[in-house]
Amino acid sequence: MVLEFLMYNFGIRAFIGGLIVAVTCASLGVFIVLRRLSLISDGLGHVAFGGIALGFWSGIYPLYTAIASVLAGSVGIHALSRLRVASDAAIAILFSAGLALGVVLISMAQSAPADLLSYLFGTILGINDSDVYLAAGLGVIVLAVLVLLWKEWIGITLDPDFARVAGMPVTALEILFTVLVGLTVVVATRLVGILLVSSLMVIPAIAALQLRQPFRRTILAAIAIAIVSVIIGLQLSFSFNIASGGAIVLVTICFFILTVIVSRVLPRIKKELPVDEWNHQCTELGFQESNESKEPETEKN
Amino acid sequence: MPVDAPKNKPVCLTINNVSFSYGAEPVLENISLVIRQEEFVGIAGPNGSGKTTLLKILVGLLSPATGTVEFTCHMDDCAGMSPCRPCIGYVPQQPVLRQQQFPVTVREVIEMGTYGQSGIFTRPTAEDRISVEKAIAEAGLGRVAEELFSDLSGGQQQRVLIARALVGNPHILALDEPTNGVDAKSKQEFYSLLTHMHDKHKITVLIILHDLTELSQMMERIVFLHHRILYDGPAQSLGSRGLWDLMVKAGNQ
Repeated sequence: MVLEFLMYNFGIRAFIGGLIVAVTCASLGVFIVLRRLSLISDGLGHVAFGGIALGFWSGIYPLYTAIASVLAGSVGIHALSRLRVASDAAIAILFSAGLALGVVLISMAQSAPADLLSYLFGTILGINDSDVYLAAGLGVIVLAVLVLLWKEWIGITLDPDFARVAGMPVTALEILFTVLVGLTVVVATRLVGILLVSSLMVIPAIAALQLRQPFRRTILAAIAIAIVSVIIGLQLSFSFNIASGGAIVLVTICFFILTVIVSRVLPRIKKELPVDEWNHQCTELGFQESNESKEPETEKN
Repeated sequence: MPVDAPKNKPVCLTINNVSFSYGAEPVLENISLVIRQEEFVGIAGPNGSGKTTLLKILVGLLSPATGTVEFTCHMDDCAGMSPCRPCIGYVPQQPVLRQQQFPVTVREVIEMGTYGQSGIFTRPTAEDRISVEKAIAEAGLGRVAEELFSDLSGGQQQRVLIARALVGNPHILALDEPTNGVDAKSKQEFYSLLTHMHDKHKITVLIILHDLTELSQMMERIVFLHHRILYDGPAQSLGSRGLWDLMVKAGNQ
């Protein structure tokens, strides 16, 4: 039976949590990839690991300490960049600091907490109601900020200098963006795990970008790829008793391969087919091919 | 071209003793300039002479170490703002937009030009959309408006960037080497568009160029920079030969 996991309460929770994370991660992912910050979610994931270890060590609920640590990490990345540390180097420092702190704090405990592995690899099928509420709350906040400041995100992504001249507070927006990524990492950590969270953020975005569509359509395509990956990954996990986080990410990679093939092979077929035949095939398939003539292209630089 | 000199026009931009340095290296030393409304000014100089730094100071991307920049025309639009955001249209040298294959259409790029007019948390208004349509039509980009920006030729991309800079109806247009890497035909189209925009909208144009022939033929006034101002005057009396001599002089300094 298709989507048989929806017959169980834990499956419904996983489905809802997965959808929230898919939409949030994929929306942010397009901006992350275009701003060449693909490693930022990985870096903040490891900062979250340090925060989670701090939670286990101090007895505070680990997700709360993870949220505090990624907020500090987000500001830390920008503080380092003001000290003229390149952004990839700043991410590497935060990455190492988070991991090292986590390892040290766990070594101070008598034994590794049993729940720790669930944060590292995710347990989407084992999340409880409060995890879903937390994911929904943070997801709504992240998406609301993303929508409300839509033109600002476009500005700092496409042309930060132009955005500055237009009077946008670019540095504040960059810090806020990193905070949004950090909050999303915390939400996604519980579901797909620290080690795979960046994959869920960047792979649907990279796959969608292969399709070379306008901005809004690219984001919608990334969201669609992420949602379908979560659904297929959950079903595969349920049917074959395999790790759900890993299954979801492997499905996103399949989508990436598919979009690469579609984006490379279709234009080649179009080039090889006579125009009439191509238009006929487009009509047959239900696509409308624009016949509007482009402005004569001058030499491409 | 060259464009008529507006000697009777009011002063639009005053640069007073502006200096700037990157670390210990002085880039600009005591630069003072007065730019009048509707002037067409070419900024020239060898590599590293401070041209781009000066333009970045004018548009507010850098703050001068000493000195001031004052916008003195269209004061109603600039109240309390320094730099005057509605005053300035900016076409950067190599925007990230041209370096990467962004999934963004020509229309979406031009829409960015309305961002400076509206505040944070606001959506584009009907008026903004009309301004975008006008800019698309005026720059002759109607047929490629829904194409991806990265699919256009270098010349077409520059036209899009000019349309983006002009969509907010600026009084000053600052362009940093806009014809770099553009073929001869596209350069011609670019200058036709720029002249049309200048004549129709009565804007002041500040443009950094490397090509000495273009500078002497297309500009009305030339400011030749090598950390300091070596020449500020009519392009015609200097000519490309005079510009070449200045280049040699700057190289020997």
